[in-house]
Order: sequence, then C-alpha cells, then structure tokens
Amino acid sequence: MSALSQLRETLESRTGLGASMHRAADVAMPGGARWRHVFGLALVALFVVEALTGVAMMTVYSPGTQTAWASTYYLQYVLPWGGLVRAMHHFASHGLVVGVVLHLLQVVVAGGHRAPREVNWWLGLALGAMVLGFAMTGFPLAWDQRGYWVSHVETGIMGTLPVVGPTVQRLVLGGTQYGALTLTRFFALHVFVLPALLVTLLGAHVAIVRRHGVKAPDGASGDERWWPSQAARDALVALVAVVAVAWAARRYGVALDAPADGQSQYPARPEWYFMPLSQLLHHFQGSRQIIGTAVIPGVLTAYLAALPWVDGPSRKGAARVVALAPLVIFAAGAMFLGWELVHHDRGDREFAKATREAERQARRAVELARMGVPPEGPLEMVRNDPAVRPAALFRQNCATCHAVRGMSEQRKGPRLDGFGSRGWASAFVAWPDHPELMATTEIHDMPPQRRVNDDDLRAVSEWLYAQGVERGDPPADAALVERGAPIIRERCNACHLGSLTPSDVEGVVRDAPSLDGWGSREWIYEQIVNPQRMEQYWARNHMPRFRDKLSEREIAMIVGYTRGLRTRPAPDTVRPPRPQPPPEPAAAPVAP
Amino acid sequence: MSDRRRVLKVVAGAASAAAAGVAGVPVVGLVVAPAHTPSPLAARGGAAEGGWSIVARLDDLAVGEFVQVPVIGSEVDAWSASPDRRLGVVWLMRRTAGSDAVEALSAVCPHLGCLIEKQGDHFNCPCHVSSFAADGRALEGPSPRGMDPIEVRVHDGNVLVRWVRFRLGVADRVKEG
Repeated sequence: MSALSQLRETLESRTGLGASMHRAADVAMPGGARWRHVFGLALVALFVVEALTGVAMMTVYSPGTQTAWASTYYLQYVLPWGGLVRAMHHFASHGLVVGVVLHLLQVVVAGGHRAPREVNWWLGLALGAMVLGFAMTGFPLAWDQRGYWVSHVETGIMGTLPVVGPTVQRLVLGGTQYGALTLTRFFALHVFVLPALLVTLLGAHVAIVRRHGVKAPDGASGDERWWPSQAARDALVALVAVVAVAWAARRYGVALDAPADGQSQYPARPEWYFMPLSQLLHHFQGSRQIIGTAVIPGVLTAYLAALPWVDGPSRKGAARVVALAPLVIFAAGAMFLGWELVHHDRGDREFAKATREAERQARRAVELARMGVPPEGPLEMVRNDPAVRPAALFRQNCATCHAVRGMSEQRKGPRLDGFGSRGWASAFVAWPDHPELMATTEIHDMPPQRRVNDDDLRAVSEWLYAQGVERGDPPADAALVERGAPIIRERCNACHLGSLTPSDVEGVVRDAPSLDGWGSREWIYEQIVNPQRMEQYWARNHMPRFRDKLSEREIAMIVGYTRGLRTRPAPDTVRPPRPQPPPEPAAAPVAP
Repeated sequence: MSDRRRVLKVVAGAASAAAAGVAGVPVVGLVVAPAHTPSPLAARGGAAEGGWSIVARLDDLAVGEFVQVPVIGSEVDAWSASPDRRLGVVWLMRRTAGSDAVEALSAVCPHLGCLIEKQGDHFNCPCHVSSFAADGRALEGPSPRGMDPIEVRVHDGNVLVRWVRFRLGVADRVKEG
C-alpha cells in the first residue's frame, strides 16, 4: 500500500496529471447538480461509442466501389461481433440525433442560448448540424442500394440549391458523377475531416461551458461542483444511453441491402430524421422545389441562429411563448411531414412490393457472397446470379414483344409459353396465325393444317418436339416421330427448309424457316443472334438482331430461359380467337 | 456528507466503467476477430477439386531435371474468390523415365518466403543466401529447414499438385491457414 502511494506520488511529481484531472473535474454547477444537465455528456458518450465502433469497422472495411459492399458483408456476416458493432454504430447515430434535440430543448427552456452564452449556442447548432453531416456521409459507405440511392438523392438536391449548389455538389461528388470518387470523398469526410472538426468544436463548446457554467433554472440556488454529484448523474445516463444502443443493436441489427446498382429502381427512403425534408420535396415540386430544399430549412436555421435575440433575456411569460412559437410550429410540422410519409408508404402496395423485392435481393446477394465475391465486384456477382439473371434478361429484352404468362402480355411477337413443346407445335400447325399464339406476327401466308387428322397432327408435333429434345427432357416417342417424318416431308418441306428431302412443288420457293432442330438451344440461339438468317425467318422477320446488343454469356442465359418455357402449357388454339376469325388462308404461300 | 460523496464517486466510476465495457467488448471482439477467424472460403480449398491444380504434362518433364512451374487456381482472400490466379510456384522433376514418380518442391523459401532459384545442381535463395541440395535438403545459410515438399500426383498424363503454404522461419513444417 505504501509502495503504491509512493509510486503515485512519484508519478504525480513528474507529471502533475492528478492535479490536472482535479482541475478538469472542478467545474461549478450553478444551481446544483441536476438531471436536466446530463444531455451534453450523454452525447459525448455516444460520440465515443461512434468513434470506437467506427475505428473497429475501419480495421475491416475497404472503401471502393468493388470492395465496400463486399467488406461490409464480411464484417456483418462472417466476423464475430461485426454485425453487433455495425448495428451499434448505426443506433448510436440515432441516439445522437435524439440527444441533440433533447439537449437543444433543455437549453432553450432554461434560457441557455441567451447572453452571455450566444457563441456556445451557435457552436451547439454547428455540432448538431455535424451530426447530420456524419449521417449523410456515413450512409452510403456500405455501398448498398439504400445507402447509394438515399445519398444520390441528397447530393442531387444539393446541386439544385441556389448559387453555390452546383459547385458544392461537384466538390462533394468529386466531379459530376456519383461514383468511385464520391465514395472515397465521403469516407475521408466521415472518418477524418468531420471527426477532427467535431473534436475541435466540441473542445470550444466545453471550454465555454466551463467559463459561464451551465444555465441554472430561474430562482435556483445553491452551488455544487461537477465532481462527483453531477458526474454520477452524467455517468448513469451515459450508461443508460450506451446500454440502450447495444440493446437495440442486438435486438434489431442493421440491414445490409443488395449491392448498389445505379441502373435499378429502388424505393429510397432516408432515415426518420430526414423524412420531413424528404416529404417537403413531395409538397413543393417543379419551380417551387426550392421552397422545400432551401427556403424552409434556411428559415429554420436563421431562426435558430437568431434565437438569442428573438428570445432575448428580457422576455418573460407570454412574450417568451410568442418568441418560441416558431420552434413548436417547426417541430409539429416536421412530425406531421414524417407521419405523412410513413402513413403514405404504409398504404402503398407498390412500395410494399418494392420493399419486399429489395429485401429478397439483399438476402440473395448475401447467399451469393458466401461463395466468394468475384474480382469484378459484388454488383457483377448479383447481375450474373445464375438463379435470376436469365429471367431478368428475358424480361428486359424479350418480354417487351413476346407474351409469357405472369411476365408480359405484349402482342408484338409469338407467345412463348410452351414454345418447343408438343402442345405449342400442334397448336401452331393447326392454326398458325391464331392471335393467342402468334399475336400480330405476320405469317398469314402459312395455311392452317386443319385437314390434318388428329393422329397425323400428333405425329407431326412429336417430330417437331423431337427436334429440340435434349438429355433430361421427357424422350420423344420414336415410333410417332418415324410416322411424322414422311408427313413433314410431304406437307411441310414443300415450303420449309430442312434436311429431309423435299418434295418439290412447282411454283413454290422453299423460303420458310428450317424445321431442323426446331426449339433446340442452337435454334433459339440463331433466332436471337440473327433472326433474318435464311434458315430462320429471313428478311420478313421483324425481330431485331441481338448479336451486338448482348454478350454471348447473356444470350446463353436467355436461350436457357426460353428453352425452360417449353414445360409450360401452350395456348389452346382450338377455342375461337377473341377479336375476330382469322382471314381466309391464301391458297399458296406468296413467293417473295 | 462525506458518505454521500463517496457513494456518488463509486456510482460515477462504476457507471463509466460499465458503459466502457458495454461498448468496449464488441469493439475489441471485432478488432481481434480476423486473427482467429479464417475466411470460410479458404475451407473449400484454394484451387478447384479439393485443392489439386494441374501444373504440367508428364511428357513435358525432362527426367532428372527440375523445372519451375506456376500453380494456377482460385485465390481466396477474406471475402473475395478470384478464379485462375497464380497461387504459387513449384519446382518439378520427373525421377525416372517410364514411371509416374514426380518430385515437387515449393519454391517459397522456408526462411522468409523469397522465391528459390536453381543454380547449377543446387537451389539457392537470393534474399539471404540459403542454399539447398538437389533433393531440397538445407545446406548453408539461415533457412531453418529444407525446401518444403508439395503433394503431387499424376492423372491422365497430367501432373497435379496440391498447393499449400507453410509457416516461415521455424524448423517444423506447419501448414498455414
């Protein structure tokens, strides 16, 4: 014991740290220690949580459009404690916003903004604004859909602000594009510039508090020191704040959305504290947008900055109520706007659908990342998802003309449900230009084969089906195929190209598409890359070529998807078509 | 009054310590996590097919002469998996004509990981001048052990190796990762 105290004495004589700490803790608390004075230190505690969790995440996170999402995924889903730390960072930011509002209200009610504390009031406003700055720069760092789009919208608004807007926007984005430089600049702002600025301003804020002391409530008497009576209250509230953050982080976690995709639709919604601003955009559109983006926030800022005079020291009673009324109006307005947005979204089925889809994509992205993120980055990983990419490509490139149940009812090209199946083949042969099947495709020159009896139709369909059969498909009936071959030769190869020896018919040019391999992968591939090829549909085909529009990999995916449609039921052409009966078929195909 | 002050001091200290603990434990947990959490991708083997990579055709190897070949496989690093990357380099030698016997030595120096060169009839590391005999034994220099043998097999005329890294600078041969 004596050795310990001797060590302490020696250290104290060399450093004087103990005396410094005593001086630091020896702050006057006019009016005595009170619970109402705890907010400042609770905010400091939450800021420390942000700094600690932030640095911990920096040991894993890698800023960059190819690595930001992937490293955040690794942090959140692979490393122990990672998900909790990220969620704590997230919830502490909510805590900071709540704490700033409570701190501000306490100060206003106590009159702490009045002379001689005006400068500290302004510093407090700047520190509060910085909390929002942290939120704005931190939000897109994971480079996921939500962060990307919310931030995209925010910087977009920035660009529309009068006078300085475009310049500030360029500085923030690192040019005109929201992209790689934006991410690294936001990272630099978030982890260095803003923290350094905040520590500086906070130092000044605390120094000024020490100069004037906290503002005691009117009529309060007695004087205490900060240590230990106020310190105990501060520490307890800080503990409650930190525990609340950790509890919320564990209980709710924080989502990691799918990787950012600048070419996607995303229902971007900001955090709750930006919702009123977001909703203002809804109310002020077009040329009046500036009211929502600059005028109202500007008036609020000016009002708060001028509050030391608007609500000056001489104001009492009813005069104070008038001076502070705008604050109540702003608060009520913000709450109403936030409620309005939430209420609107709750009743919006499309929004709910889009949200569910975004959640599904997020889950899928994580599943894919578990197999390793490729060097091209997480976005390419998601885009080439073997489970969904083909359908998406088909929807984008094919369903714009072709009808497929559940995806598109376009009627510019043939319906592809069941394409390649026996049912599709027989439906087509029986009634080639049936509107349910071929829609507006101009193939009125092929005569319907209605006189073919049912057995022959079955044999022909079997032969056609057999052209596209591959391993794993239900096999074709060999006997039926053999019976179909001569019918094809006699009846179809008069016009259709194909390897079966044709029976030439005088005056008929063989220019109809080849039936060899119909419905097979190769056939579908040729149809996509070069639909005007002789063996396909020649120049009469209105379908665009996709050779140079899509990569080979993408075409292969579309081929696979199209081929998968053959297991669906084909349309029934026996029912009469809805709009009108088909025109009488021409006696013979028209020669080009 | 003195009692009240003591209670307040204890409360202030205990509450601060508790708050630091609640925030500090997850933070420290995360910072140390990568040290004891290998990438789950690594468990599936670097190269394809259980870690085996084709490095040469048996017929291309001259009998009794070491050649240096790269090992190509899927490179795994934390979250990323990159196919067709250069994982390492091995020295390969066919022992006798007409047999499948092939010797494979890692070109990574067991001392500090520089790439070992062939010099006449022995191996040499250029960084700290360790030399090794033609069979990989350590001869001179700071290397704590001989060159590391790499698992090798021949299938369908192809020479396959199972690439692995060993801990550097120690006498015992311990696999990394």
